[in-house]
Amino acid sequence: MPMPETPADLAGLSLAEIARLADERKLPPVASWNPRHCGHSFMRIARDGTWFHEGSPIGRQAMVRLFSNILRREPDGGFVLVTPVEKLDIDVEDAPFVAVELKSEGEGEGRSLAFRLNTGDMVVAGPDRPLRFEARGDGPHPYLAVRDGLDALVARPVYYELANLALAEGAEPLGLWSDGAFFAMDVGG
Amino acid sequence: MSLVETLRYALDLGHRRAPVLIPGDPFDPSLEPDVAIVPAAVLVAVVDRPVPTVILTLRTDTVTRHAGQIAFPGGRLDPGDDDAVAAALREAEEEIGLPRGEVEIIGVADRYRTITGYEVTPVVGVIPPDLAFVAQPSEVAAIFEAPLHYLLEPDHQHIRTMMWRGYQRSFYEIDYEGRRIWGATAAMIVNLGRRLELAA
Repeated sequence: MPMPETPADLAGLSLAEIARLADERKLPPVASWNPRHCGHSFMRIARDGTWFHEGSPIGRQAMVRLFSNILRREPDGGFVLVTPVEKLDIDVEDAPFVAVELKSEGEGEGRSLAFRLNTGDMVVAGPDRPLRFEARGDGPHPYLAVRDGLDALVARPVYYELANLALAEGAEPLGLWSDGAFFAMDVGG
Repeated sequence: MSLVETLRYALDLGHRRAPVLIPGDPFDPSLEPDVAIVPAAVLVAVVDRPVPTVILTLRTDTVTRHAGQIAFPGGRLDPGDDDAVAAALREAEEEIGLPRGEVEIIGVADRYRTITGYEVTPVVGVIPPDLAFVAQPSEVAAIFEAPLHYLLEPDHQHIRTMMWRGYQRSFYEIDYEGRRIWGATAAMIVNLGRRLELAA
């Protein structure tokens, strides 16, 4: 919400425009705030990225975006919503963001992978924002590092798009480059 | 971006759009034939918390207008008030003891005309958490906070109809933890949500 209007999808944007939008995103300096801990927010981010407060979903995208601005990962792995004077726990079922759309440009080592998150934010995968594929009992769980310990779960359809790109490219091991970094997808799952 | 910057941006962007708003209560000359439009202002004080809230008051049963209802702090413009912002800040100071210096003004939202003859300007401001409020006992029975996102959620904004003096009337109602927010206050919340909604 507090930024240039978010385009509805990635299709009409070049990678350069997406990267610029991602860089221009102004976020509050949550890492520098050290407020007292005030309890639980009664907020929960479900696996599909839906935010709940006291059990009811928050439908307004602008509010979700506002809350996501002040989300912080704590050293103990927990998540909090933080302002300069207050800090409240928030439950996160899987990852706090979901990557819902992909745009790929270039190929091989020259490829860039841009993602749109459920909050409307843009992230280009690269050395500072790696993709990783965790093998679990129920198959690979793909994640994109968004910022400071906050990940996006890569949505199923987006993951299949990545897998198709990787299969078509046929790298050994299986994987994709983005912004100069290689991300292996073969997790033995 | 802080809550102040976020709301300022959302309101500024919202004012450049044209959402469909509730125009005001239906005018009913038979109700109060000599009614004159009286300018008034309320303060929509958003508390800067991780989950931002809005300050609401429960009016006493003894006030002449809107007795026993939930309302924003506010009232009519006095001759000494420069504008709606000044009136909203003065009324909030008088009714709940909110020092005007603590309010960071965001802007004004859409005016709303009540059936009781007021033309109300909602003034949006941000205040720090945990200020010690003091209710003006003759007007304010209780002061409480409700989450901003809860109030603005369309799913929580219900249209009610009732027969009243032979007319069917519709109004908005928002229930928060058993507190019933309805009438002009609910309508101003609905309008604020529509104004900000487009800035999402």
